Amino acid sequence: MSRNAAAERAIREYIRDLRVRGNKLKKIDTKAYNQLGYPVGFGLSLALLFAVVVQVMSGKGSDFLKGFGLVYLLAVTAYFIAGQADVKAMGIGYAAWVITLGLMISNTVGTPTWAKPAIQVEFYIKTGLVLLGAEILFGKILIIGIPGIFVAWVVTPIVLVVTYWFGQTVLKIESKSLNMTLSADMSVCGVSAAIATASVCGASKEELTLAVGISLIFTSIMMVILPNIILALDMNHVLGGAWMGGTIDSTGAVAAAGAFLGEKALYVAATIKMIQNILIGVIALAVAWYWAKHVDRSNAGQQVSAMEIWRRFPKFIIGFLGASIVFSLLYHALGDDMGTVMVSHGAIDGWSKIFRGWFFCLAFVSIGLSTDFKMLSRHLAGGKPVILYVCGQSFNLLLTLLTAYLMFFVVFPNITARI
Amino acid sequence: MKNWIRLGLSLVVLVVTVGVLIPWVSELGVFRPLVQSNMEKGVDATGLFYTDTREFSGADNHLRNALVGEPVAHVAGH
Repeated sequence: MSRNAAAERAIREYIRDLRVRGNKLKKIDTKAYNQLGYPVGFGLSLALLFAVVVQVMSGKGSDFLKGFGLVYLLAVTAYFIAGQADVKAMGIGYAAWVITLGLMISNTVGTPTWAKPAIQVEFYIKTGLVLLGAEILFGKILIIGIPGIFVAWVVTPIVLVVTYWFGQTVLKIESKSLNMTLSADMSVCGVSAAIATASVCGASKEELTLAVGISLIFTSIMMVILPNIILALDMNHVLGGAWMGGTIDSTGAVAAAGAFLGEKALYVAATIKMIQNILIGVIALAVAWYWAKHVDRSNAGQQVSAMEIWRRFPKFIIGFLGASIVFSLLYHALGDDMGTVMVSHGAIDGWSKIFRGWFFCLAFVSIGLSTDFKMLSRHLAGGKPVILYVCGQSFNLLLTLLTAYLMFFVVFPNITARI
Repeated sequence: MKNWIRLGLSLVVLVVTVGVLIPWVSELGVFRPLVQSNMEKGVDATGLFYTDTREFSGADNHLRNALVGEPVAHVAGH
């Protein structure tokens, strides 16, 4: 082994030890802080901001303010539960808790009438999606070269289209929007893809809840099973990482499964997932166009004019893609190092991702508070959504593994050797 | 009244799930190694997008250096 390789390994071990020691120290030094003022202040700021917008849009700003307290309280509770150490380590995020809390209220005592003006699913989701656009930096797709682009950008759309086709022609799922939301959720990147796709194809709250629920359950299962299969088969960690990155829905679960296997698997899995995350913008645009042209039509068989497509096209996509293009160009102009500091760590970590997280959380509260169990179970009738997910994911697992093997070991082994 | 009792019961189920069931499940043989790994390495397994998880930033830096910088060729060359 060359001295350079030994030094690199020593540095990696040093960084890992430092992190493990740091995490242990954090646990020992934990002190009690009274941080109650922050969520209260933040909640008041959000309430005022949204109330002004609602007032401008519909003149019901004061009604919104009356109901926002409950919506925000449930969102804070969900974040609180998701922060519990075991819950966090198991990968059960705020989305699951906040939908559960909302469903508990709406299906028992019912959502109070005074809270209803603050239940603004579309408003929160679309605002959050525009902010999510800022996090989609297109330059990142080049990091791992052609093998990564193939695994994330070629396999994913194929799986999405095949799963959607399977749902329509074989399973004959009645709702096209549910079929598309589930297919995107499973093939792209879980909850965030489900939110984006559901918004552009006009899926109902129940359909989005169902897609998110199925995805969260299967993500937890795959996060545990996949690394153990890779270990049992003694699979190369670059291949294993690419396999996990391309197939496990949730981004956090990919990091957990990758870190469990080792650094090499983590680096590859995380990078593949990151490239796949960036695909959301393109998928959302393609689905929006397809829906406006082929699905969202009143008279089947009628030719749709360009003006009509534009009229049906969800306009928030422009903000979503616009934010992505602006931030991608900014990142590119600043260069990798400055871009990481200013755009990734500055604008995104310090601002957009925090607000986007809260907006999505508020959206999920609203979904839970306005979802009826009966409607939800109607969509689950016959178990077709679960069958669609299982069949689509099985195809995804096979195709991703095959493509990752071909790309990393047959076509570009030199890239694999350098990782 | 019946509906309030149902809400109360579902809250009890939620508290038991978070406080008892999930910690118990996380100690089971299948889950324990992964849960322990997440806790030790500080991995946030709940991230929705790549910007939510700090491991992605490390992966980005590592691969950029490994595939573009080629430190091995320059330093260990001679």
